[in-house]
Amino acid sequence: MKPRKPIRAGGFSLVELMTALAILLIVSGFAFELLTLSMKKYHSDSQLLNTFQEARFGLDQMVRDINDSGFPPRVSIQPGTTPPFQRYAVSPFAWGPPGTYPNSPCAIGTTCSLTPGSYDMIIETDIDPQNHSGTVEWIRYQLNGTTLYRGVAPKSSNPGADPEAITSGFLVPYVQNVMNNPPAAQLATLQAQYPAMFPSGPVPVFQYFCESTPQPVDCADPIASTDDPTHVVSVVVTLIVQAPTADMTTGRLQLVQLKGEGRRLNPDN
Amino acid sequence: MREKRKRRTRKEQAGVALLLAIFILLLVAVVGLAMMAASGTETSLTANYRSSTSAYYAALSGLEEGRGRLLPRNPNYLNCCLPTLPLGQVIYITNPLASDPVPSDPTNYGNAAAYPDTEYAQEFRRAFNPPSSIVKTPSVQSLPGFANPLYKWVRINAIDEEAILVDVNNTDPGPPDSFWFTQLNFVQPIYFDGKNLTRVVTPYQALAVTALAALPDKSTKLLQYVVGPVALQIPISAALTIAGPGLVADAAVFNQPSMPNYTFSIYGDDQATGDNGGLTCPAKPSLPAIGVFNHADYVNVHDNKLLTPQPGNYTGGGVAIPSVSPSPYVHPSNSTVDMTDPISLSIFLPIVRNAADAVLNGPRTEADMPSAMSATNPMTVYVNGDLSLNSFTGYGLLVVRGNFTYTGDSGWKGIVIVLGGTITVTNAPGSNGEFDGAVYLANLTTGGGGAAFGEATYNVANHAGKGIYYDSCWVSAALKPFTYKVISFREIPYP
Repeated sequence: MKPRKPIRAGGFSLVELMTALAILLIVSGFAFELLTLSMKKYHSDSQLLNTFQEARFGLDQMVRDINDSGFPPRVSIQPGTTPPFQRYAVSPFAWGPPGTYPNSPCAIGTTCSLTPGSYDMIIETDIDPQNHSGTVEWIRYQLNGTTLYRGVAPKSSNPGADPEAITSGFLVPYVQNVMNNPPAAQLATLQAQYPAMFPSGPVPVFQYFCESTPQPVDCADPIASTDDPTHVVSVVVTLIVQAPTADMTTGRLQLVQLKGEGRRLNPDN
Repeated sequence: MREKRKRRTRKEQAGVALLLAIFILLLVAVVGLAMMAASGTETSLTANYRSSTSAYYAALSGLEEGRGRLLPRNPNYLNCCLPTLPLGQVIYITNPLASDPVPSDPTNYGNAAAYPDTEYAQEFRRAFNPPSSIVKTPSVQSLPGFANPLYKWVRINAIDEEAILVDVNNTDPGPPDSFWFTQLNFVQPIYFDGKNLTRVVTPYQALAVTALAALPDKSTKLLQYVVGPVALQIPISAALTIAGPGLVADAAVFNQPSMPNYTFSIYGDDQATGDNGGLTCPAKPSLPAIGVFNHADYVNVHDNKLLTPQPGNYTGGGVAIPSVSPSPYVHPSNSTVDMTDPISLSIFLPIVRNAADAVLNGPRTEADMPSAMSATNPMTVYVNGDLSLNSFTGYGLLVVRGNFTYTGDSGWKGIVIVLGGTITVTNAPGSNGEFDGAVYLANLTTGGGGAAFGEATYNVANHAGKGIYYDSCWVSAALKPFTYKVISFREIPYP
């Protein structure tokens, strides 16, 4: 009989096993850490993307609505007649306070109430031109807290009706987590993290530009020759939207800022 | 034996590594796939947004091609719509893409892939459907070598109330709302009066320009303009108007010929239906032969010059012979320029220059006049300096910033505006030149630096042609549209 071969060739010693286990633990530890990190990153980024998408969707709709504002203009109807009030756009943008619309336009930045204002706007246009009802609509955008609301109401046939009161019943949430004008504590946090986005406190959603030569000027600017909503030619829309959760890896709040300009193509009345 | 079993066991365990590897690979693959799916959704959302925006601007550029080609000054003028385009006549500008699977065609109603114009039937439900005539014109490349934006077609047509769903003449009895649609007229074309749409017939018709854009990914946009022609509105108050400074010592001057029985005359009766060189149109009220804006000019022209020898050569306007407007001039509100105001005139000049077919720096002669100008193609000519014409007849609107001299069989059919202060007709026996339309003379060169008129003088030699005949047809022919104004804009769902 030959002597037996040593067992050594057939198995592992305890030391070998422990070493292998330790290496495996370390490597898999790294791997899982990496996986968790990438999952977190992915989660945060996809939230940011969603936010971006929502903001863009909202902004795009606003810009399109502003482009179409003021249809059909008063010049579509023969002069010297008084067309029924709900059949044409008195102005591209309706205004408050009650009792002033449609005969005495307010001054943007001073005498206008909520609309047209930095966080509130009522567009007057016919959004369904193929519909035979022939009624112009009021489209209102309002930032209330951190939610941007949108509402479409048929224009009242009563000339004395208040556009703000009528449209307020139709508002539905449109874009969430809009941070243009958040509560003070939140604003302070945001400002600390994004000083460039909030140079001087809250950021207006809507900035109105009025007709002027050689180029339109901010309606609220004292040099503007006209400052009433009937002479607004373009509106610059700025939306700052926050993702629902902070970045999971850095703990930083995630903000998206989008800017767009709507230009009125319909003429003045 | 034991040894053997052991070896076998080791061999049996050798596959675990593979299993583990497969398991981990699967895990990683699932995570990766989920990420890809999510980013795929994002990408397609972004692509949708991008294509919808591209389609919007492509349609807008189609609208602009249509609007631009309505203008007579455009080298690719459609020549369809002036003075009027009847309802039911449709002009398409087509812009098919070579790579389209089905060639796009607005009238291929049976095939949705050809992007047919289904919107026309929406607009004209009760009349003019189908169109009585269809003209198709290919699109013009805006930049050589670059394809146009992806609009499929642009439609130009006359509109009625039902087509644009606007009660233009306001016959709506009010609520109930269901009555409203039946109030819309679908017989009469709609016109533009310079400010509003109207059903009253005016020289300028409102048109709809509709454009459909479709991208290869099938995103579409349909946009519509209602446009109206805008022309210079120059108020004509007399066959010859002389704007003088209104000072007794320095008034408007009209130096008539000195010889007896001269032929030069000025008539304020509208020659619209008479001998005017071929144009006919409804006659307008008669105007004074010579118009002035103030009393000093009136005294100087009427009392000092025209009472002898041949006052009968100056008639019109229901004014006693010689006919010079004695009453204060009233400026019409809808005109582009106030002819009594030097400042308004100086603002008006760049508008004319921009609208002009030819802008010439003076001094110039008849040889420099555009050769394409004819009775059927009146033009706007702006001469920045002096102009002299010898045996030449022009057509349209002539604005001379300097002095104007003419001789021989020279004349102009349309409007002549001279702002240098002097018109001189030099002696040319046998001359039969004639001005049909209206002539305006003022001096913007001297006198208060543009704030006031300087002295204006019209010198007529003994043999100076037949004179000036007021003619409302030539006046309106001279005032062609220089732009099409957008009256309204809207986005329409398609199909």
